[in-house]
Amino acid sequence: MIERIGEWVQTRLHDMMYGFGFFFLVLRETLTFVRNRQVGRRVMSLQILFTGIEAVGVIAVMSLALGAVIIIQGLSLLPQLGQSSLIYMLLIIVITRELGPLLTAFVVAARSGTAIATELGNMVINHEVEAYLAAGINPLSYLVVPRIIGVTVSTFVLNLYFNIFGLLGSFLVTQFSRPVSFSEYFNGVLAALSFTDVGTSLVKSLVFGAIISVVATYYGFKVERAPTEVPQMAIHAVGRGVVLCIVADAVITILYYVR
Amino acid sequence: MASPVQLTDVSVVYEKFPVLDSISLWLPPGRTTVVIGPSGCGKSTLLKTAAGLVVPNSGKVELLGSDLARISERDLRELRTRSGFVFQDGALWQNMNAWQNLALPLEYHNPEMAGKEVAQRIRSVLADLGYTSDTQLRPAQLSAGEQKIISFARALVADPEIIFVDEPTTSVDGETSERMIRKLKSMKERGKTVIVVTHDPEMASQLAEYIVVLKKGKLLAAGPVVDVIRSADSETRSILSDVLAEAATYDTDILSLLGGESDPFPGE
Repeated sequence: MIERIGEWVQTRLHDMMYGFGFFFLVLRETLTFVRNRQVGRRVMSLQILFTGIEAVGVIAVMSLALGAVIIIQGLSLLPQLGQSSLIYMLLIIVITRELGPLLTAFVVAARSGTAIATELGNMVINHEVEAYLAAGINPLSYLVVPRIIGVTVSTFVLNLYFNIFGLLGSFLVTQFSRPVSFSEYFNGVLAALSFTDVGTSLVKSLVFGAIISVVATYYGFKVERAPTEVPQMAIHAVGRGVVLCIVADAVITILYYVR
Repeated sequence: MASPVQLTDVSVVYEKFPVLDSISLWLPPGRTTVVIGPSGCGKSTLLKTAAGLVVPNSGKVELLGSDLARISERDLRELRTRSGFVFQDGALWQNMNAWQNLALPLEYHNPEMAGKEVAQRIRSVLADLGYTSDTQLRPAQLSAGEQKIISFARALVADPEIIFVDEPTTSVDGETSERMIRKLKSMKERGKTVIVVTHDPEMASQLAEYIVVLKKGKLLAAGPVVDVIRSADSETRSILSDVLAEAATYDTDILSLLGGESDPFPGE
């Protein structure tokens, strides 16, 4: 029994040290990425294409629908409370402050987090990572850092799209229920929008992008030998990435709004 | 002359199972060493450990004069540009086509190298190995033999000082196998160090100048072929013939390797 507990503690400590070591090395390689070799930038461009550009359609549909739902719910509830003017505030709180960055992160984690963990895991199994080492190519600087930067930049941009499409969706729905002019609608939105809202939204998207990509690459490299480990690690990558994003969301929200 | 590869009391353990057990080994520079032993005896692990791809649990590994446990990251990267490794399964980068697999090491380490020179080097290596298929194909579109050739070419394209080769002739046809042997011989003639793990009696008999015999992770014998064969105990002798005979169809090659009728140092 004591031996088992000892082994469990030892494994956890080893995992923790490995995690810290991985994070430290990734951070160091990320800081030196700019002056690194050009070939890594090709990997980054491909990552931005997959994460940032190919996901625009999904983000657009989700955010248009969400914007529509919020405006419908708001327009049916707020007038009953005599607070119709808060509709723009509601849109900003839900779309810009909270759900924009978070739902974008979920989409990125589901698409790119799994893809990265699976791809890297398979590379380990097929000895491709060893082949990079043998060729003198640092897998962290060539495989990990470009993906982290690509995913982080993409999450940031997708969050912007989410906000634009979300607000557009709600505007389109208002045209059916309570038509307002485009300028009136966006003046209302801009009036409700503060610098802090924009700042937290963008900071959140950057943090979420970094979390998703670091966690996905970490679990990709946790694969050791068997192909059966790959889907397990992909599940961990998404699950833990999403949980960490929600925790980070709470922390950032507290830091910005609880004073 | 300093050894390009020196192992001192090296042990490797995978999940509590010893794969290499206190191996101490000195390999000669500018020579071809052939590593043999029964399947699962740790030959590939020995090769990877010597190349610095597997970190031993204990012991010291020196590659081209540098202690791999103490070398800086920058020096290690520089060291790796001076060595090449051919993996048993090819280990080609699946998300790139054959050409990109060959170009990446050159582009990564020599960003200033002109595209024309990169292309010239790749074409030259591929011509030497007789590769004629489309280089725009992905590894999954290539046959196992073609993948092996590309893997071999990838290790050679940077013209390394030392090359580690793990079962190069598995899945390749006779002609390609001969080309590979010729290429390795020409490397040796240019003073390069070649270390080969093989079950192929043809390759072993044509290349071996120095031989390493392993069994169950332990070093049974190491030295010039003639010395090993002459001084071999019955166990080593049995492995020399048994292992090669398992994969061999040419008894004459085994005989030549065992110092029978043929010269064990052909070409010298």
